[in-house]
Amino acid sequence: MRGLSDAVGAANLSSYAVIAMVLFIAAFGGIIAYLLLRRNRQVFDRARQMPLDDEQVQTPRNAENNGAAQ
Amino acid sequence: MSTQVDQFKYDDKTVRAFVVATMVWGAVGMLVGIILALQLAAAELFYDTWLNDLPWLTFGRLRPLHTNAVIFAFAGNAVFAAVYYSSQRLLKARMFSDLLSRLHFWGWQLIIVSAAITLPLGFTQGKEYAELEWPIDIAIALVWVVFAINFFGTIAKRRERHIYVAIWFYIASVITVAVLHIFNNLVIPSGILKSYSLYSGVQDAFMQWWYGHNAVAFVLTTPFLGMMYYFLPKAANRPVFSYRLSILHFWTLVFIYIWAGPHHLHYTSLPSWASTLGMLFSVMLWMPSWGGMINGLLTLRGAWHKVAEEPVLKFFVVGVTFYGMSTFEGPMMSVKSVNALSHYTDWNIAHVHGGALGWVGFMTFGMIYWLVPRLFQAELYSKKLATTHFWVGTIGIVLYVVSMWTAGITQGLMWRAFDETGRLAYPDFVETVLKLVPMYWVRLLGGLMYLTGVLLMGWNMLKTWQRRKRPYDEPIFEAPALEGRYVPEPMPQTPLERDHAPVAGNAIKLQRLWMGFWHRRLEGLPLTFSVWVAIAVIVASLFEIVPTFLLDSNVPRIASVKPYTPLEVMGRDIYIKEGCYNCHSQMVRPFLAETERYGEYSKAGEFIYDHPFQWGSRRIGPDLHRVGGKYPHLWHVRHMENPRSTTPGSIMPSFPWLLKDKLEFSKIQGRVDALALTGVPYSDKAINGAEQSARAQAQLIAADVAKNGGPKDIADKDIVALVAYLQRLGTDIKLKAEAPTPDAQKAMAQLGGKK
Ligand code: HEC
Repeated sequence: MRGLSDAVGAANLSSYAVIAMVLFIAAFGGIIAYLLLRRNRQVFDRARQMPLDDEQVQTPRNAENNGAAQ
Repeated sequence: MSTQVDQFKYDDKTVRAFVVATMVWGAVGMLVGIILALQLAAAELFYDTWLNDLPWLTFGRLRPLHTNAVIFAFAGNAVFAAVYYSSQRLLKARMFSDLLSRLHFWGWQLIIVSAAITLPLGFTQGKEYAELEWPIDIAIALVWVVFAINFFGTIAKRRERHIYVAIWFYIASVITVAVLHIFNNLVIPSGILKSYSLYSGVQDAFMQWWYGHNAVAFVLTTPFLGMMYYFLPKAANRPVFSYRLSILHFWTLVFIYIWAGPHHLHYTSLPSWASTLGMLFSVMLWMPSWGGMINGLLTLRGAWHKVAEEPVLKFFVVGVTFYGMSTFEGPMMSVKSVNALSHYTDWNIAHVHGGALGWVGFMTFGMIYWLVPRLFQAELYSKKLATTHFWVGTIGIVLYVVSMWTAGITQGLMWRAFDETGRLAYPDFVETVLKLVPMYWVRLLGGLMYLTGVLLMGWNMLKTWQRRKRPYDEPIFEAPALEGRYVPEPMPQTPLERDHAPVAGNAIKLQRLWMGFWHRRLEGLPLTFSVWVAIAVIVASLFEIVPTFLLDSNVPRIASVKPYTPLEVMGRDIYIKEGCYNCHSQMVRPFLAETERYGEYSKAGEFIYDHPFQWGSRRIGPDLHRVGGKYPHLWHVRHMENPRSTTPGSIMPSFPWLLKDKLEFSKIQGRVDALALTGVPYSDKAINGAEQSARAQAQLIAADVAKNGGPKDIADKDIVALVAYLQRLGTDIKLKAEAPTPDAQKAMAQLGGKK
């Protein structure tokens, strides 16, 4: 283990930590922005109904209905 | 529209099995909890009677059984029941493979049984909630893979395009638990049921609490949120209040939770940047968590009259409320100044049980009461009994949590109290323990009430099962077929094609594939989605963990800190085996009240040979990091044989078998070799002559004990190794000659001993 940590230490990865942080915040910000900006009321309304019906598919996965419809 | 239609059935057999397992293991795990509570309330009942000859019944061995049973057996099986029931219905598909479902169920139960056998026998890795030894860890990984294939396979063949948010929570759990489990359990085996953590000291602590905290997040929180987002709307027959809020809830948790672990290590030898980071992210967690709670409660808007009559909804409402309470209390306890008081006390226990009994337990009960009539296809035997369960359970939780808050704050304040002369007001540790005993009785009562509720539920279930429909109906559902007539949208021209680029057809094909790849990915969201979750988890973890490994070179190495001797290694193994870490910390925090009581505060560099670390999380007994040299050898021998002989009123278990059981000298070499493999720099002498070295050291200690009037035959007993280890603790850094602490003075007077 000492060997491994020495190796990791020698690789001088500390800048990667910063890069990871930036990536992380960017991804998080991106997702939140996407979520807040996109007006997908209809999609969400259909999604909300999903648990209530064991039988009725809300958005089928077949050719006629590629999700774009409705 | 001429859509081809598929017919399919849901698999409820597996769900029934998981529900029954949840019930059974829940009762067992809670019963063990009751025994533990009784041991703290009435130590003399256990340790001054014949029960004392049963090593497997001691607190240190049973406590891991309790935690593992309620987390992985009770909550685990409940999660699987929820996942199997709701995923099939949300995805409009039967589980991917009945065989895998069966393997998953039986594999998991087998793991639980092996845990129930090995933990009381003392086979443990010595890290909280990761106690199970490596062969069982491998089995867990395998069963998890079976589960993952079954689960993702179901997603792949689903008939519903959009994936409901509950499934998102499940996906995050499946991925993250796998990552956590693997990385925290990397060990070097030394025998079939013995191993040493690959990491040591600060790194091991960091890894462990990254795991420990995220086990709370991804075993006890996210899957239960999935449960909430499915079963609460179901039971209320209303869609979730805000779908957008639920997605926000999801992503914020996934991104933030993973960073919060270091709040378990405030004021320890962990570098302070890490614990500050842990604190900040913990506080940030509060908002999304409350968003989720509000979303859950508002789902019931316009349906509150139903709550009054429907026990299922009662359980859900209180469960969600406890989610809100725990996710407020947790961030508060992560604030360093609060943590300084709360850490190592029963406040932690209060917090954990608010979450476990209130949130996890009540969500599970709500789900079970909702499921049972549907699974057994019969009306619930007694709604009244269920309502009684609800009230008994709720009062039980309140008693439990309030008594443990009181106990925690009382003890925390006593530890840090000084009198007017500037000395510790309660220098005698045991005094701060005895003060808690009345609270321990109240806690026991609370626990008993809660368990009574569970037994009522078991009875109710049994009675409902007796009325079950025979044979069960298996309704057949219909939905548009998945791929039968799947016509992909016309492939758009690739840029290469458009430009009539002079390249081989293969390049265009490749580009088409690439574009098609993205097209299909976006539509088959789960994969993209899983990748995002994995990225969030892994990036955050790397950022958190890599620096600790870098830090190894920064942990100020202390030249005088040397590896444990072979005998001390054996003693340490006994310490781990007996689960002393369940009651004792080994981490003196840098506060006056602690340095006064225990001595010099602990330094990161002192733990570099600790595989695994043993910092502990709760001080039912005093910190032991500076216990080395505090008492004569003989004191420890007598204390271990019966703590009440040296310390009247002590609630520590007696360990008389340590004075009888032969030390396994033959195993010493293997242990030292395994430690050397983890990187402990043992000298050639230790590598080749561990056993001789151990025997020699044992002779010295035994001779000293015999000379002072103690037992004469301990040179080849377990106790000699344990004493060697205890006397070594915290002595590697040279301490100023200090006045002996009050405890030590008392002990010396008692024994007339010298050191
Ligand atoms: C149920 C919790 C519990 C467990 C398990 C437990 N202890 Fe204790 N221990 C205590 C309490 C309470 C005290 C304080 C009273 C006393 O000295 O007995 C204590 C005191 C001690 C002391 C004296 C410390 C001092 O500074 O005075 C030592 C040494 C000790 N324990 C060692 C151990 C070892 C070794 C094990 C495992 C084999 C162990 N304990 C397991 C509760 C526990």
